[in-house]
Amino acid sequence: MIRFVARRLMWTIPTLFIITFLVFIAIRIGTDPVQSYLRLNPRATPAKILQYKQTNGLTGNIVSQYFSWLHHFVTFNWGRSIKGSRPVWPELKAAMANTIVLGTLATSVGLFFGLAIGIFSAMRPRSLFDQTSTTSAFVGISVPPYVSAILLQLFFAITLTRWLGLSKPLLPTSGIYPPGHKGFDLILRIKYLILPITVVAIQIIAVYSRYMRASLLEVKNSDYLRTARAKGVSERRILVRHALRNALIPIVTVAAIDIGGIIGGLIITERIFENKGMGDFFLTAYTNGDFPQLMPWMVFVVLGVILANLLADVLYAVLDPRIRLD
Amino acid sequence: MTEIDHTPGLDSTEVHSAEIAQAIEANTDADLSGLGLRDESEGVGGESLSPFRLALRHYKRNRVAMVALIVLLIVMLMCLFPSIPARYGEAQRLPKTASTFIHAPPSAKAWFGTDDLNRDLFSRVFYGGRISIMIGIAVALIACTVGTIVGALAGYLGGLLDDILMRITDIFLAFPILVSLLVLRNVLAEISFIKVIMGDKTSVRFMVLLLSAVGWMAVARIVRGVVLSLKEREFIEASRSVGASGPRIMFRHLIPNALGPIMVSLSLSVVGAILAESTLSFFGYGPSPGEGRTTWGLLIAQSKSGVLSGYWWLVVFPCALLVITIVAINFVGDGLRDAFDPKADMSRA
Amino acid sequence: MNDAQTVLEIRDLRVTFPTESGAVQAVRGVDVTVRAGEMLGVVGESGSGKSVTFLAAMGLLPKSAKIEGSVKVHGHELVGMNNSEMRKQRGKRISMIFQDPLSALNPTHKIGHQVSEMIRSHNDVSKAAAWDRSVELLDIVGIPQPRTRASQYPHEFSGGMRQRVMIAIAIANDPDVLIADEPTTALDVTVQAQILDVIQDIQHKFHASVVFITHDLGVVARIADRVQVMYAGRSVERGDVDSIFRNPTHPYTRGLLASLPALGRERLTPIPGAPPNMLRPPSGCAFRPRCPYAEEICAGEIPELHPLLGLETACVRAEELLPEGVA
Repeated sequence: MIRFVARRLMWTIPTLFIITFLVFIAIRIGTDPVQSYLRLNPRATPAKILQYKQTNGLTGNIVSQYFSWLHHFVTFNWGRSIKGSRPVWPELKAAMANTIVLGTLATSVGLFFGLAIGIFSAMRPRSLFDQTSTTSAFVGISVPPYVSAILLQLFFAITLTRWLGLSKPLLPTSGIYPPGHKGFDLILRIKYLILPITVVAIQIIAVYSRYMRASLLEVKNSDYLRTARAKGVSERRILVRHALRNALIPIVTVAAIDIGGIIGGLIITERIFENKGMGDFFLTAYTNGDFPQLMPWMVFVVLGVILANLLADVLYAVLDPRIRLD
Repeated sequence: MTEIDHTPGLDSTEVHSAEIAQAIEANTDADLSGLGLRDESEGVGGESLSPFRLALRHYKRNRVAMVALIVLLIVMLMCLFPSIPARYGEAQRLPKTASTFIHAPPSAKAWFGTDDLNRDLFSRVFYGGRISIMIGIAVALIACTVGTIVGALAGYLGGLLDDILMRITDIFLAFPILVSLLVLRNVLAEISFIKVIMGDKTSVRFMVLLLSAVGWMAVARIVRGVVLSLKEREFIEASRSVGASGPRIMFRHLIPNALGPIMVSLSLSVVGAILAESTLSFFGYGPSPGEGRTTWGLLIAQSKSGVLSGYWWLVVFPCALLVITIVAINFVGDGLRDAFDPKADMSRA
Repeated sequence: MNDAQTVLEIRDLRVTFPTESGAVQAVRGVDVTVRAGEMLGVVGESGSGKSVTFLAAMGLLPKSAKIEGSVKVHGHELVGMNNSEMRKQRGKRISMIFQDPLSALNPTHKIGHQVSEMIRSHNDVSKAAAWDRSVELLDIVGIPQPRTRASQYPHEFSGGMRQRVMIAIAIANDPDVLIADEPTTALDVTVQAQILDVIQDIQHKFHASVVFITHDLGVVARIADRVQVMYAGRSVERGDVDSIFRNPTHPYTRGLLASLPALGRERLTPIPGAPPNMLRPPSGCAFRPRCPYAEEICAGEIPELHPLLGLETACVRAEELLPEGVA
């Protein structure tokens, strides 16, 4: 197992190398940093442009530019954003911290409710609960996150406030803290997180309640569950030790790989709720054509996806003795 | 179940309890579903029970899917011919009234209220739907055609083509779709010879081709998977052994038998394209179809500013129509999946 | 033999499955008697109701199945028992070996745990004691190096070894009746013989009562003491093995025997036609549509078992059809 992980981690380096190269070319073609620089500094003199090119490794052909970028990247010389000329790393770090908070909380909430709903549905298939939850999940996967976000915003900012006759909204609908707030405040932070978490979690609940239901139903029809019953094992133990455990195997592995989908949901949610995370960071950088910000962002996403895939494989092997990692 | 020459007592499988009811049900109430599944292999020559017709019969029995199909057809008809439901022109401004001159709430005059230029939202929702749905259909057709051909070739031929397909899609699927779309959008707009084909970044054509450029991959992977599993089945081996040519096997046997998954992909592609278009529009990277014209994504994007002012109708109605359409397509897709694979339907019980 | 104690007694068992198209009558009034220490072979085609009969006795049918009649183990009635009482009977009084040992074993649990679970579900013993007992049981069913093998998973076992594990599980609590539901069907021919030996061994060693469900008359001839032939949810013939093989009295049993490959037989004669649809079984004798000797009388009442030549047969024309010189 350790050897497998070590080998996979070693493979991460060439994979990252190839993907970052492709991404570098794609972004360089699509977002010429010099153009972006000119757009933001329209009165830059030719001398200034040349200086900008040289400090940012934008001279020579694209391959040498890539290696120049790579050199800067691995020596942790990540440069400054084109817009505002702020150092990239501190902002990226702050964005990552916010995203990890939102992402982990939303994923936990989503998986908890999603799996629970799926389990109850599968335990009583065709019951009222099952039909309600299956239909809701179907609607849930059909509602794009920005629609649920904007509807929640409307509801909490305006509708509910009017109905209840409140002077200010029950839940804040944008930002991380109220304007001008300094320091850490748990209660406030949670209040600001509730709506974004809800939006991301709805998606996860809708998807995973369906997965869990299908997976558990399949296990419920299995021969080994009948064997357990024939052994006189109690229903409770059958459910927990035999059915749930085996039904969770595919779910856990799918969940670990699904990081791309979750990031996608986060980008949209963060932008709408002005939650300054990785998604918001990306959209801002994209809009500004801010090449120095985009590349490190991409590296982190690729790294996240690779590690999540590794985690999925390891979890799979841990949970299912039939899988051997070699 | 359908074999006649049972060798008595030598049947190797005793049906087990849980399956008995289902097996018998499948055998009597739908001989066709049992046939449809198995006879794909034997029934290639016999056209009388084509998988497509069987699926159609199966689909018709699915009440939810039929309702969804009817809803979808109504919405699509109204959107593709918006002048039928619309009460005013797309860009027509309503005369101002005593109380308001813009942002009128829903009333008998304007059922869904009016926007910042006092245009009737009820009419605009359908005009906007026309472009959104046309994008959805166009993308689905292109993506499924390309995806089916590439996926079938990769699955059938294997080798280098298959490797290339898998690696390209691996890379794209590693990123969130929104990120892939945004990055690719800029790339395609900068390469001059592609620009000629795709047109301006903000055109509808560009949006259709951009979404197709990403959308074909999911279809290709699905079709590849189906072809890989079909390739090993007896009837393909049989046609190969009697000397059928590669293209003949592919177009006569492989693709028709992958029809179910392709149909489902088609419905998923429409959903994906409509959602992607509206999401990109929401963030300001969608198509701008021209002065006074709109799409669902644009309508919702423009409603953003109305949220905090309390113009709820600007948000609720476009969102509702978008969601109704997508729910309906998803239910139709689910119905198609069941119709083409009755066994999956039974295991859902 | 007749004096031996009756261990399992099934009386007039009826099982129906409600479906959208109507009630499927899978078992239509079956009697089974198993005496202490004997092996009863139950023979029939797919859908003859042989498995359903015993799954019903085990209480393993889906809740929707309607079960009528009586199933008694040592005089204890099982039909109508509530779930928690029934749970205590399963694996203790009556246990079962299934057809496909790969799917019947939980792929994610160690073999030793799967045997221990059986022990601990019915006895208040420590985990360690149950584990030790499991290793012993694995040894009894002929698994080499049982202690090592107990810590392995089903996928590390061959088909035959897996079926031995299933047997070890089934006999863990020394049940009154052991039901083997086609235990050799999914196995290679060479392995089949070994598994039959194991089952026979256990029967003799523990003086166990075994019901051996199969479609294979050859297997029955080899190991069973008595045979019960089932067709379309009813018993059509029963009696001791030798008599049935020498003088089958029911045309269905004859058909089965004629289709059996045997040394010196030139040609197998399969029974024409297919088993009936149990949604609408034929009136009278269910075998009538496929029977070469069917006459008007067969369409009347459903024939009951009646004694003939030391057997019991459900053919109304059995006496007329006896070959020359037998009666």
